[in-house]
Amino acid sequence: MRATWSEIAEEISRAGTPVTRQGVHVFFKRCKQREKRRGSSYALGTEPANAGFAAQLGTEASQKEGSSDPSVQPMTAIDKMIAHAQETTRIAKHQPNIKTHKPKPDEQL
Amino acid sequence: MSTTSTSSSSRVRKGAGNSDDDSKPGPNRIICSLQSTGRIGKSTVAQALISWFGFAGVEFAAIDADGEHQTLSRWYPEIVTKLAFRETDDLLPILNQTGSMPAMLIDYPAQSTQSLLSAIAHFEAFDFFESKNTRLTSLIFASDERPAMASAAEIITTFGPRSDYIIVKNPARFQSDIFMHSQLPNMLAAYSAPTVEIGRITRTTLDHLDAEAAKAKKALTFREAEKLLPAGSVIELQSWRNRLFAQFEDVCDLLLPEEVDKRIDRPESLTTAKVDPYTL
Repeated sequence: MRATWSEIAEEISRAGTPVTRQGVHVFFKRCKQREKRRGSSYALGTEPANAGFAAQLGTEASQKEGSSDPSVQPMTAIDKMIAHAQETTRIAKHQPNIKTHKPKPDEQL
Repeated sequence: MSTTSTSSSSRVRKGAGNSDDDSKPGPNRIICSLQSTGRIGKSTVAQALISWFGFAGVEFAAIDADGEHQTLSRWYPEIVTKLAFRETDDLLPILNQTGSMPAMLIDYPAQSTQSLLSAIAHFEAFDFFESKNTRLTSLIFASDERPAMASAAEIITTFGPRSDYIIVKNPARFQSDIFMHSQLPNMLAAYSAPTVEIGRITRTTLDHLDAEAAKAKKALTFREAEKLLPAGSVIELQSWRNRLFAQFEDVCDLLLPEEVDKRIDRPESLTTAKVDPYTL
């Protein structure tokens, strides 16, 4: 059962990428960046180091849904964490759309 | 006082990149100054251009790339996009939307010439502009400050004929002729750069404007301030704007792909008569 961050870290490490409990989110962030560079869509389980991991974790998360244990994190929380990590990195820097302005007749700017 | 109205008289220039066929529009324009010095009138000219685009009914985008001062976006918070230029990446959003509108006006910060030139080189921006039927119009301020002149020379030498140029004189700010006696006018003459002159605004009117802005607790454009200023100052600002609008119309081919339909009336200005007292 991989229900805590420590267990997730152990699982990833066993699969070939040594990570600590604190390093799990960085690992996922790197997965995501690699996927971006390759131009394919992101999906857990596509990395050699965590192949098959997503499906298993998803199953476990659904089983643990509603758990009162704060260390138990469902799949969606991981995705949110990755999204947050992306937002705060330079690679995913928010680049706003540039506003265009079509003046109204006789608009005084 | 009547400020503006429609008139048909105009002088027609044909800027570089513009088709000889009058029926075909010229390239879209990116208008900016990349010079490395502040307080030369860059944001003021940008305000005047926005005002002119509004008057002429031209669709445009305006970008405030000066993250420190944010002058333009304080004046036009609803219209101007804040997009501080700090590094090469920050040119990307501009490239992404290049060619999607007739005019894109960018107010860059001082001291960024080198990084902007590097970013433009990195993205091979001129090739991209060309593919998007867009040309750069570089405003070169006739500043007598050494960094401004040096960066102007750097810009002209780097861009050469790939950019168009407009010389902007600001006699209220620069009273010496150092710029005009340098090599820069000759360099710019090679690219047929026209000159636009920003009129002088009296200290009294500027003080009134500052006082009203302080009362309103916000930056006021000249248009906004006119509703609040004494009549004399209103007339002065209207006249200032009209003179600039007329000059923008004269260099329209370097600012927009097509001539504007709506033009200002050009009142005959009084010229001081020269009288020889010995002939009286």
